[in-house]
Amino acid sequence: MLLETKSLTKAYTPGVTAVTNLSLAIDEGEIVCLLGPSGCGKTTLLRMIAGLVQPDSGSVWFEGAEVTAVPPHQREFGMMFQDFALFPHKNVAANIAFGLEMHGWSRERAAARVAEMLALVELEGFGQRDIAQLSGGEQQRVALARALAPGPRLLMLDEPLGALDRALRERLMLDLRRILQRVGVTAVYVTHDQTEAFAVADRVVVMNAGRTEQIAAPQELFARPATPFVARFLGFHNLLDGVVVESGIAATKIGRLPFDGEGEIGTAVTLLIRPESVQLAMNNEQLTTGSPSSFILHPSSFITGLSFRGRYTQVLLACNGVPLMAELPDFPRWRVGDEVAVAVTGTQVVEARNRVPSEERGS
Amino acid sequence: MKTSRSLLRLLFLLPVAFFILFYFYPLAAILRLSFAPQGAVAWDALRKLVSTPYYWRILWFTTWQAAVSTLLVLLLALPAAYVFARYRFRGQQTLKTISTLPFVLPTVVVANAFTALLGPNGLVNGWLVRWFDLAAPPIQLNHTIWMILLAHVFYNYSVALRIISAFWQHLGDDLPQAAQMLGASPRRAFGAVTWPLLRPAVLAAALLVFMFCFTSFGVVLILGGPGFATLEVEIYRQAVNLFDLPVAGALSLLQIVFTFGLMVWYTRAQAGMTRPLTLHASHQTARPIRTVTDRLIVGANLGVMGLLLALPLAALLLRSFTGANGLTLQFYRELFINRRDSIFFVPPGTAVLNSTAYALATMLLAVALGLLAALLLTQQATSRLTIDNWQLAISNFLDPLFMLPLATSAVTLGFGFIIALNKPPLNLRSSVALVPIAHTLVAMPFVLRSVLPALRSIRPSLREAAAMLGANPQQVWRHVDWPLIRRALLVGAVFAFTISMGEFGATLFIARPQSPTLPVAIYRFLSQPGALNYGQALAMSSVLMLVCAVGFAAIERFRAGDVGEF
Amino acid sequence: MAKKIVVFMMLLLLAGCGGEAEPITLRLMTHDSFSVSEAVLNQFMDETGITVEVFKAGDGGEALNQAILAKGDPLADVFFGVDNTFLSRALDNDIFIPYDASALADIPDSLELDPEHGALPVDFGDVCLNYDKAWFAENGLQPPQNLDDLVKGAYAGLTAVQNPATSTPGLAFLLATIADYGEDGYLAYWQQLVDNDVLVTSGWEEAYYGAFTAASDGDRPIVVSYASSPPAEVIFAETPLDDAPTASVIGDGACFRQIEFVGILRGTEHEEAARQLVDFMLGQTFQEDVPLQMFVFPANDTAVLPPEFVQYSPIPANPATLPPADIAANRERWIEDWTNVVLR
Repeated sequence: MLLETKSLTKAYTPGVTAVTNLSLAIDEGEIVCLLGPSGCGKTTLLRMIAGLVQPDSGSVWFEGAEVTAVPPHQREFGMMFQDFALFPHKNVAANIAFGLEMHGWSRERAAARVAEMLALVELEGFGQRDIAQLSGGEQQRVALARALAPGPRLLMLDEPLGALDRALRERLMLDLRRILQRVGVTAVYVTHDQTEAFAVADRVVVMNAGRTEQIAAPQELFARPATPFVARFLGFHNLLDGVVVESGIAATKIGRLPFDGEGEIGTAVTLLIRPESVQLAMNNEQLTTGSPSSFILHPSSFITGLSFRGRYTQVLLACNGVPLMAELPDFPRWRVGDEVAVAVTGTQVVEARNRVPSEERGS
Repeated sequence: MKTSRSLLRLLFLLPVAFFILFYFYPLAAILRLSFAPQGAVAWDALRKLVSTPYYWRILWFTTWQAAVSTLLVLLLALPAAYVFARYRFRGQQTLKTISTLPFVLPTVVVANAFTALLGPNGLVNGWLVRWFDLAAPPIQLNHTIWMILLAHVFYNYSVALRIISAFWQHLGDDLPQAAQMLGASPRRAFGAVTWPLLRPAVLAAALLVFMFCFTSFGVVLILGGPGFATLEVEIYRQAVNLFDLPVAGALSLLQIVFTFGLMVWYTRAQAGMTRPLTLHASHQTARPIRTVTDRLIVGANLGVMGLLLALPLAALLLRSFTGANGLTLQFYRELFINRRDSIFFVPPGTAVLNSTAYALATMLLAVALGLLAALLLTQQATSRLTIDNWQLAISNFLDPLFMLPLATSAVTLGFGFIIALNKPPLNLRSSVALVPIAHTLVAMPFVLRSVLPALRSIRPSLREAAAMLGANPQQVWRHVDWPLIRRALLVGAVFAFTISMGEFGATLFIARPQSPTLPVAIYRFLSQPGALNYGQALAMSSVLMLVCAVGFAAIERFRAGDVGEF
Repeated sequence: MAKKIVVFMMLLLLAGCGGEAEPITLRLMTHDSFSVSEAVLNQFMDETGITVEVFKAGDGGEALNQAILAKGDPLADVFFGVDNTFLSRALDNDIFIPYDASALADIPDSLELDPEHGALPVDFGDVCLNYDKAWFAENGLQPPQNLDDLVKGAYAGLTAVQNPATSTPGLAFLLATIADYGEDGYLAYWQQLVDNDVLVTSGWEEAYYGAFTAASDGDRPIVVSYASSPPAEVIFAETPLDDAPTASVIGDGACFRQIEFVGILRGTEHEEAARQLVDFMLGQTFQEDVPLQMFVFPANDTAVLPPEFVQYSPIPANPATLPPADIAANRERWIEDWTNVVLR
């Protein structure tokens, strides 16, 4: 355990908490992403870890020692800011050398380190450039080099790619992971973009309204979103309320559906139907139900939208008035308005009311 | 298209034309009369100047007292600027207003406030004598250098406060925080990051304060007493009392050359210092007072401001309501009575109107010309024409020139007006228009100094981004430059208004028909004996403060426009 | 648009040209202390049909210097306010047109300092030591009787004077000491004053409203002011007073008499009207208005003084005087020497 936050709470205006009672643990060498919509408290959490914001209550522990009251400059953490916060009155080399200077490095050692860092971020020969002359991508690399130069015990990145355009972001997020792994630094990475989080993180912390919703590895998170919020945030829209009527079966507005795992009869549940679990056919007979748990939906379903997405086609359905989304591997021959037969091969429970206490969510 | 472009060019040359006409032309005329009355240059005066140690001593005193005053002002105002830029608290605006009020007060009135507090029979000495059972008042500041320094801080505090806090407000916390994350303690982060970025604004404020103290007249004459003389005082003595125009002219020239040198250095330093910055909206950078440390920091600064600025002002206000038999409104009532049936009686309303009219005219003129000059200097105006080295050189030369009126003795320029502006169409020497013109000469440098740092800090990419989004140059200006410099312009406008409200010196040397301003009315009361006259002078001073406070409030309202507060 | 502007300009021009029998407007240039009753000035304008515009141009020295700078192309038609300490400067620069006003007959010869009658005396005032009556009564000390008293030990630290280099009463007081103690003795006298802890201020306001015990929080019960200051204290009292709180020291040679002159500026286009104004200013109506407006005494003997002046402002019988030419010739040196002794 390298870093731990214990019950952190912060309210900027009395009564409105940005972060509520938040506990988190990060292992050495891990890259952890704080993922969530804007305003979810992820930047506040980051700043409390950094020491830039003092929590109202709770504590921050680093290497087993409490650091809550340690001022930011004594924590020896590094941080990359959203708009990079490069010093406009210093050139590239001076920016990177700044932290070294603050830590009392000799001029020669610092110069060598600056060169090393420039090489790391592939900006050899940029040392004497003015900050204003750099492109966005170059500024991002300088900011990273500057944050890494003093060898921080923990690196924090606050939307480090947020200011960049999409294409650049795609490329840089891979670079970023490569560099972070090569350096072997423990990192906390704040983003609102799940693609970025999945690409960079070892573990993702999904945050909502100042609390954690789920903490998991990217694959696990994607495979098993633990709450409706996480599911929705990851882009899953087929969420359906139902009641457990027998073991593994819940009754919903569109019929009886199977779900993974147990469930006491009578429990109200929210089910997630992954788009790939929805099967379509001209009529019920044509539905090839490969899995024993797949259920044919009996109410009539109509196609309300079709959208070609390249590798798949997104099909919007209305099933007994309930909207459903399916993804088909090829472009179907139906048109909007056609009636189709629908089967669901499986669902996941993302919420069970009255039964499962919220603390048991997550990993 | 072509005509509109050349019209535009002409527009930007307006400030230059204004300066040539109302500054250089009168100045040249009076200097010619001083040095070369018969056409041939009389070198005697200059020779006398160089060879008399007395004048060198005056130059030395003028310089060091201005430097020390400036240092003190910065020392006290810098923490306050931080507080005003970084915290939100109730009464902030009021405090800012109060801090600017000293600027308009006549020196004699200020001298009296100080005497009431710190004089031999003043409040503070009274306490000290009583508490410590002393035989004599321990504080004897009158006619000492300390009094001069104290008064300079009193007068100029708000110059530094306003200019620096307006700039600081827009400096985000991200850069110092980045420095802290890299291991810099808050103090080192300030030294290595905040200070270099803040320096243009600090230097601009320091320059203005230095100029004011360098050309200090009333404070040195009245509070310093006859034992002290600045160049400005000596010029006055030579020009008015001795009517030795050659020596007065030579001293004026010395003053101008010295300041011009300083300005040239400043302009160079400033240009090398200013960086394009990400400017933040002030509501992002300011926070409410929360912790004990916050309270201590804000409290300490408010304490200094209270002692230094509010207390003397309050003493004045109180005295204007205090008669021989306790509290009274008599002095205010008396303002409305023309006891002697004098033709020169000014009802307070009229004086307020006159002052306000002059101040508004000055403000409009100074803001318009100052903004044009700032644009001219940032090359914005010419960027779409052609920039070449020649224009750049002109710009580097122009900036210091625009500052010169601040460094020019009012009596010299006033005499210049009389001999230069005597022929139609410029027969203005006894015109009312000369008052706002003279005030504008002094006020414009303030507008320029407030706007330039902001204008230079705007990232070119912002303008380019707007242009790429389809904004035409006017729209770029309206949506990018304008919101970003508006606050700075507002600071300039407040100062222009204030300078005109309190200006007495320059007005004095202009023959003017009957439209007395508040300061003139105050001096009229003060020039005659009698408790009633003195009381009325204080009452009129309080009216002056009130009018200024209302004026500031009105000007600051412009902040909440439709462009979104920056 | 352009047409409209042209029409507007023509209208302006027409308005500017006005009718044929244009009434004369006279400009009177003066210093900031000038004052006159509305009724009195209106009387002149009604009787003559001449409009008078008053221009103020700073204190006496400042206004005079401006008039001299504008010589030949004057800023005004009539100039009022040059006093005997500055008279030579005005006469040397020849800015006035001589005028033999008939009212000169009623004015004492002692006030007529310009034999050419370019500058005509309008009023006079005596610069005197004023003292705080209450202070002396409370402290059981005799008020000073003459200049000699000021250097006595009992009066140490009691006196405030003004810098003659920057203040008119200050200069007048210096001249009084020169007239009394002579060119050889006045500096020694000033040295004694300095040793007796005299306070020197730059201007009258700071001395009177900054240091004088009767009018401020200051600690000086003796101040250089005017013989007319005590009646002013009565007239401008907060609450009606039975007696003046201050009094003047008017012993022989203790006061210096300042005389103010009016003159017609060379280059005027309205010389005849200007003469009418000068006549008016020397005449009884204006002269009787002078005391309460400017707190000086009328030059014209026929003018009747207001009661406050009769009661509280006795006119010194033998004020100190110096010929204007001497003042002009030596002023700079005297001030320089004084500065060296007193300030350096």
